[in-house]
Amino acid sequence: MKKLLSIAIAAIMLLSFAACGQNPDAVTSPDEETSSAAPSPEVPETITDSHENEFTLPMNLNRIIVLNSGVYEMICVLGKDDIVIGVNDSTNYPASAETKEKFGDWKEPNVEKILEAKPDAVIGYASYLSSGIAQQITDAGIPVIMLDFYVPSEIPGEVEILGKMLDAEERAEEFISDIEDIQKLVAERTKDVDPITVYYEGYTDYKSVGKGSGGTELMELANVKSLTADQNVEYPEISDEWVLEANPQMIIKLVSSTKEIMGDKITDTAAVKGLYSSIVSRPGWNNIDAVKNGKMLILYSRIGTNPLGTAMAPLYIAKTAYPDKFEDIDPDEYLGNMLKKYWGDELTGIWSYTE
Amino acid sequence: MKNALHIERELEKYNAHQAKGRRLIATLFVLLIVCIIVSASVGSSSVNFEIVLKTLCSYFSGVAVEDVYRSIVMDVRLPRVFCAVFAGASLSMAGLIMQGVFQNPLVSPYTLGVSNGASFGASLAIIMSAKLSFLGFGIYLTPIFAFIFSMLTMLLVYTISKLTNHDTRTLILSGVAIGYLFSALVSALKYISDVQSLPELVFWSMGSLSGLKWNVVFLLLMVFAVCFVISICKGWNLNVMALGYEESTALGVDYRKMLVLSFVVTTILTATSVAFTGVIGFVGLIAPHVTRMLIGGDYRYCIPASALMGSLLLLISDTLARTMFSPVEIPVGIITSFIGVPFFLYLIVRRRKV
Repeated sequence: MKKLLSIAIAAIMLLSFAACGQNPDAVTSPDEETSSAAPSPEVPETITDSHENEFTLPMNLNRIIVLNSGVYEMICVLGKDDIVIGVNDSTNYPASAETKEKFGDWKEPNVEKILEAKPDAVIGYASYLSSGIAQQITDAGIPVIMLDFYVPSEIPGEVEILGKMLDAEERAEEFISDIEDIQKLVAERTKDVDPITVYYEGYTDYKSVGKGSGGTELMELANVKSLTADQNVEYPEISDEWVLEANPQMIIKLVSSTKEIMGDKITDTAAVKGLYSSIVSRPGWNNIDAVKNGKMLILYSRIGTNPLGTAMAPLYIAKTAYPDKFEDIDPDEYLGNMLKKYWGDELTGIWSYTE
Repeated sequence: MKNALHIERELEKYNAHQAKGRRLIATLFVLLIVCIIVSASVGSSSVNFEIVLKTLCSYFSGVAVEDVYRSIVMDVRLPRVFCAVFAGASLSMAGLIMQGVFQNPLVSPYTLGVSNGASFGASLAIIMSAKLSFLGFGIYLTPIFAFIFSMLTMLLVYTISKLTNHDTRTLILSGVAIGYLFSALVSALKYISDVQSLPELVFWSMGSLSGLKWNVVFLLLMVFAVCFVISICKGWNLNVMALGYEESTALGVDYRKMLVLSFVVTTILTATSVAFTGVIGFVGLIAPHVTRMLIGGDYRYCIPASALMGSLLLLISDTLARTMFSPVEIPVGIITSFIGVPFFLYLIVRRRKV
């Protein structure tokens, strides 16, 4: 019993000494703390992604996998594509994507291959990446950053996050500032107009855009009035007879890059002309004001709901809607400048089409 | 004397059965006319019965109608109403014949894989539209591909069943298996498609009657009319086939020839509808069952009654699909199930009670 007691006392004493040895300044009064002249340690800056996940900066990313083609494009704009070791299967633009290893689908990527590659981080499609797979990657100690890059109002914030993450803040800020300059120009020129009504159609026939969608925001930026802005469904299928009666003054149609009828490498306008005539020849559409007045704009998806489109789509829409306000403005010139400055490309091919 | 009485009783029964069949056909026909009028009078625009009537009268008298209303009635609403009528009739008639020939209540026009083949063709056309543009099909690329692939699927199923001398069980099994194969191919296409093409694939596979023109109505009508006449002419043979291979052969019906004919008729009916409307479920399964529950299995009455029942089901469903959340439309396949299934279950329960 005595032996046990002595061991216990010895242990308590040892622990007390250890505690004192660890931090001799640990026991300080609050007064002492506030009067200390030493500078307080800086709180590390953090960023928050689209899923409210917080990451501490600097992230020191040297090897990342990107599963969102829009994010990859922006990483190239920021000049950081050399740290990307792999992308999802359908990311094939800009050209450097072709040289990157492929890690499967954008919704359900190959998780084993990703874990084996041991990247510093994975950037996923916030709205689409399988949450189960994202959790598996996170559980393996690899941070998963969720970004969308398709809602105009969120894009500047997302570009900023990407800039901070990749240590390319200046370039990101410059890009955001250029986008905002174009948006301001459109806002300035359209501030006194009586907004015209617009029917906006996405890649699928009669699929429009409702509340909270990227397309609705693009139209708000151009100060035109979307017929379907108040619909609670994000991508509603709209009744054709309702469109006929609503009689929009302008029609906007977005064309997917996979259709290969518009784009930087397409120079023959025959296919896009075919699309134009197929839309105007829909049952009864010859009675719509927009068709009668030739106010239909077909936009290539690269200037749709994405970083470049956030600036360029409102400009093209506003120019078509209110031509007299933009007589001295050539959207192609602005597009050419953006492509040259951030993508290193000359403006070629068909990006927008009106008749 | 006893025999004469028995024959007389049977004759009475037969006549009563015939009268019941005729009554149902007449009732369904009147109901369909009423539904066509109601459906043509409602929609997402303000075009109502009066405007529809005025528009139709304007062709015979000097009544003036605004161009936009004329467009809505003549170019949008009426073609859609009649597409629903003929597509519903085609699917239901195809389902009836297949359920009879295969003597299996679970068979629908889609059991043998027609819809899976069509979905694969349509998906291919949507994803590869750029590469296939040289064919010059324009906006008809998707329906043409859907039709071609559904016919190819059936050809494959037919060839396999031919190896077993057209055994009906083999036909169903090979149809289901090949259906699964095409379904897997559609999944593969969905898997490789990007965020831009995927919504279009999903949209097509849920079925829709929007944007269809009069030329589609006439095509559906022609196909339905030809198949209807053939089926009605062979109504007796179909009745006999319900007795099975041996009995029908003994009664002088060429069972195998009838099987092939039914196979061709149902395939063409289903493939044509699916090509333009996408995959609309339940009409071809439930409408024939409901018809048989009401008037029994005599094909001479079942064929027209089932076609009318299919028209009614699809027309009511589509009218609801385009008006319930106006101006937003919901996929018609969802509504056909919501309306068809409870009615079907009600009939099953009622029949069991009796």
